[in-house]
Amino acid sequence: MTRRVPSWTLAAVVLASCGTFGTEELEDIDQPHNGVGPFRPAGREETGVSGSPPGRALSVRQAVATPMVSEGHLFYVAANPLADVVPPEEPTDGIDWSLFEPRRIFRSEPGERLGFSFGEPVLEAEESWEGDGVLDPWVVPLPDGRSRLYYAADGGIGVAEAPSVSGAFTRIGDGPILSAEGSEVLRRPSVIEREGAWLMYFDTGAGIALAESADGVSFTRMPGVLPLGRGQLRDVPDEVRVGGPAAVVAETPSGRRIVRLYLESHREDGTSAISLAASLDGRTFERLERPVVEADDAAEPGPVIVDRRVSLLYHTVPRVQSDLEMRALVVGIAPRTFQFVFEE
Amino acid sequence: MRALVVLVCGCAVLAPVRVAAQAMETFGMGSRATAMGGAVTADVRDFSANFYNPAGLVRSDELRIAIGYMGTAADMYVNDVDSSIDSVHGIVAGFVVPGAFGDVEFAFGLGVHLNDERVSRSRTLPRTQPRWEFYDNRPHRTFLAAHLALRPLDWLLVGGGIAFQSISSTTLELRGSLDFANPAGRSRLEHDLVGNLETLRYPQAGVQIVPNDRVSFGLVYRGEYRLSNDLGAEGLADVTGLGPDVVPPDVYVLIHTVSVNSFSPQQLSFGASVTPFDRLTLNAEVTWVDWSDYETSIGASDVILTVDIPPELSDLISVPDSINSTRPIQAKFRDRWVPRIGAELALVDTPAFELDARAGYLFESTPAPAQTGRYNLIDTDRHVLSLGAGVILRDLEPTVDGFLTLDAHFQWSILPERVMSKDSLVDTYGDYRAHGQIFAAGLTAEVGFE
Repeated sequence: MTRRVPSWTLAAVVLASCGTFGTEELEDIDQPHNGVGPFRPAGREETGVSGSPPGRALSVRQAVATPMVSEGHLFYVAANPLADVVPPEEPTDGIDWSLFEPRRIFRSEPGERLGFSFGEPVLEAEESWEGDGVLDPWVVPLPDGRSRLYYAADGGIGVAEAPSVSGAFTRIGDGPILSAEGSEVLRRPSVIEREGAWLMYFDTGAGIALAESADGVSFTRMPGVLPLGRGQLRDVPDEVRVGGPAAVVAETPSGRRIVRLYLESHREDGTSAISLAASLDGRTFERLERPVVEADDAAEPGPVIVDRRVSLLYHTVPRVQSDLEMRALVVGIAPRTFQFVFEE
Repeated sequence: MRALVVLVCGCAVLAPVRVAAQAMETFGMGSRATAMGGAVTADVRDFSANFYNPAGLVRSDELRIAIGYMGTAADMYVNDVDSSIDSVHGIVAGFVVPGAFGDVEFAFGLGVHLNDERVSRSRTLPRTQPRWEFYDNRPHRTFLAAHLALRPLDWLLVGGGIAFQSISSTTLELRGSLDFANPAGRSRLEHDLVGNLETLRYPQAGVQIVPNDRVSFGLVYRGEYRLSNDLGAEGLADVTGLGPDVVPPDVYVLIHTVSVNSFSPQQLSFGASVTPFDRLTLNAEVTWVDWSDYETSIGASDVILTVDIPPELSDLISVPDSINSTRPIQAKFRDRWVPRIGAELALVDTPAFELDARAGYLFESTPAPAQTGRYNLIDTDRHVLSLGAGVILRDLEPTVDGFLTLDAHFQWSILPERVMSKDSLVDTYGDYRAHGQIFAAGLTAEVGFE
């Protein structure tokens, strides 16, 4: 018996078979990210700032240090070289600030991209306890619109306030809100407000210490330093000590509020790397053992949380200008796959 | 023609066919079955019996040839970022060839799902990278199954057969010289690459019990299969370019990785079908899926590196004493029970024409535990709603001595949000939320010859 198979059936089979031709496309898929890096240097089209090193976010001739961003404004320390400075014949271990004018705290207005133009000074040393310079700015916006500027100077850590982040800063009180004990030098205050308590992390020279406050002005120092370094939480190879804290509070997609404490891991060879510790209560931390920035001798982190996935890390890397050791202010982006696109 | 079909079926069972599964496990096979939520173990009778229950092949006495097309569009997110899950689309086809040995009716069946773009995709991702475990790579398989069904008693139908997958096994051998000073320009390396797709077969068997025209029951077992990627690379080379006074050291490297590229657990479905009145069929079933037997999709690797460093270069070159092997942590999936319901209503039923409306629902609880550690095998529960329609044209003489069915289906998978909180606060990916939906649709045409 012969069966008749309709011609359209055969045609359908042939046409359907042709559908099996195709291509394989591999894409970089955006993955969740926890702010742990590695941060890639921002591209020139992302910063709007030209020149090396990669990721440069501020093009200046002055020595700059300790960048941080608050409400889109960049705060940092800058100083001009002394007029008659003679560059040292031997390389110095970092910036030799004795070759520069007194350090002042500067503020740059928000730019259209991730980079900034050189700004104006907002605070310079005036009080006797401050010595000849103010440094290490950390600006916290207050709920009523005011901004509070924490800074370091010779005698400890001081605080000033402005009616807004772009306003004029006025010191609060006559002296430091936190004074050094013995021979220690207090540097790099970083302050967060968490569940009604103000937590200040700062560098004592021996490690990172914590002070707590109910109002953000009167702080009580916790004894000792936080166990963040080698032999304490993680056995980080070659690490001598940790310092240079910079804290932010990140809310995760699950609703947890995590304190991310970026810090400097100082190495035996005199260089540093930026690493990270994280905590739920701001007091007990889990340490990441690897650097979050791949550049050599990265330091002075200033983190910015863009959203739940994307973070920026302003920081500094070495540069030499006019035979003087300086540092360049750069910005890194994590996750590496994320690209900022700005309209021309 | 039956002889040809029998020959093809026989070859399919015996020959090392290099194809694999399994889009239909997620998105169904054939429009009628998919529209009814896959709850057809008890009443399937068309080519899709090759997947749902091979016993159903012998339920009708027509020669059936079917072909169709299905496609999906995934809308999956992790932290509100599109996961770019590839769509799945491809041809479904099959046939059912009935016959008889004396008084015993039998039928051969062959079913195939052939994805567009790729017959099979292997993908080994970085160990901790988040991946939608069930939707990223798993549906990108071709399915082929051949079955034989018998009807020893009027109320008893039994069927069984084999479905096919393939395992990839690849070895790479390197030999020659590796120039230390200018490795890119002066190295002379030869290689042999051997890749095999080795056949893997797994069984399927089922029963349908049909006490009368209004009630039937079905039971089907599908065997487990696991597809692995086995990649080995071995190299032996001299290192040159170290200077005239240096004896070239030998370098030996062996890399071996094994990962499970796709896994389908053994599963058992039991279903019932009732026809309370002439135009309505109601189906329900439940499937046990043995996901607890799943190991993980994350690969294991072994690396051996041996370099005989000349003493004069010992300060220049440092080779680790050993490179640690990596072993994945078990996925620790749970078994799951999948309930399904389906309904079919004949809106129009005449001797020449029938119009059916169909609907179905199934629920898959996720077998994946909360991903609190380093690995990120993302999955959520899945609610699946489906709708469909079909027409049967019975008066096709003289073109066809039989009938033509045209079926269409639409399927909506809803994956409600699942939140993962990591044990480590410095985990690379951190906490995340995952959710999504998948739309699927398809058409199937089947010709039945009386």
